[in-house]
Amino acid sequence: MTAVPLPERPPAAKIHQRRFYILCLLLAAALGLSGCVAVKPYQREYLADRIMDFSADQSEDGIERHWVETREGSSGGLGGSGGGCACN
Amino acid sequence: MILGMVSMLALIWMTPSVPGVKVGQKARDFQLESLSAATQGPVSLNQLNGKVILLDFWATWCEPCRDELPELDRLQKKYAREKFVVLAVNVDNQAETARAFLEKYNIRLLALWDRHKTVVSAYDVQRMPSCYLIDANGKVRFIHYGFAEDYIKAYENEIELLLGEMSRDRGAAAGTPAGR
Repeated sequence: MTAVPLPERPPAAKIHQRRFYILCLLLAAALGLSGCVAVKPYQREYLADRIMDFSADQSEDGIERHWVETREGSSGGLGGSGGGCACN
Repeated sequence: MILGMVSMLALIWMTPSVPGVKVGQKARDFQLESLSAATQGPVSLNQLNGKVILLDFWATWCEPCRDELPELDRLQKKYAREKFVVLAVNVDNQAETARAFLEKYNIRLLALWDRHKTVVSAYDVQRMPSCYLIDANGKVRFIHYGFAEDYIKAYENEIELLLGEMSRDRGAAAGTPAGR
């Protein structure tokens, strides 16, 4: 009868290191998830501020987009519909 | 420590379920401070028992609310002789902002300030503005979210319906024919 050799156990230091990495991962996940909150409609005072808008004036932005598309012959290039004739 | 992490994650995921107030339910009572100097002390919903109440949640930073408020002021004036009151609950962070708005547009509604947003969260308001029509028995009968011009006609119809019901109930209790 031959003795089957037991698999070699990783050294204690390696086990601790692995646990440490797992804990770090869990902590990072927990911290990341804690940032995910639903903002209620009545809590949007700061979000509704004009400074939070990408464009200061949306109507002006639309006009500017139109003349850029007209000048460049690239109607629809910024995401709208059209075939490049700048007639829409 | 892992147990701690798991419970922390569970806490993050378990958002407390706010029941809110729905049509057919009793309107939740609250007490808030008034924004107008004319009204002394806090105002509570129960204080207005026996009246038809239009409870509106608004803010100065909310564009449709700014459109709606002058219309509500007009409604209050239209039904001034009736047992009807508009309660405009403001949710701005600063009371001064709301006061300045009311002053600027000469709005004379009974405006209250929900400083800690406890009332608006108790009602679980899903959109701004939100309007709750409460009958004379304190029951929420209609809820409107947002605002568009044609809402005013609906408000008027509903207010008149609730005022009619109230006078019928009073007439029945007094044993007299209904009449306002």
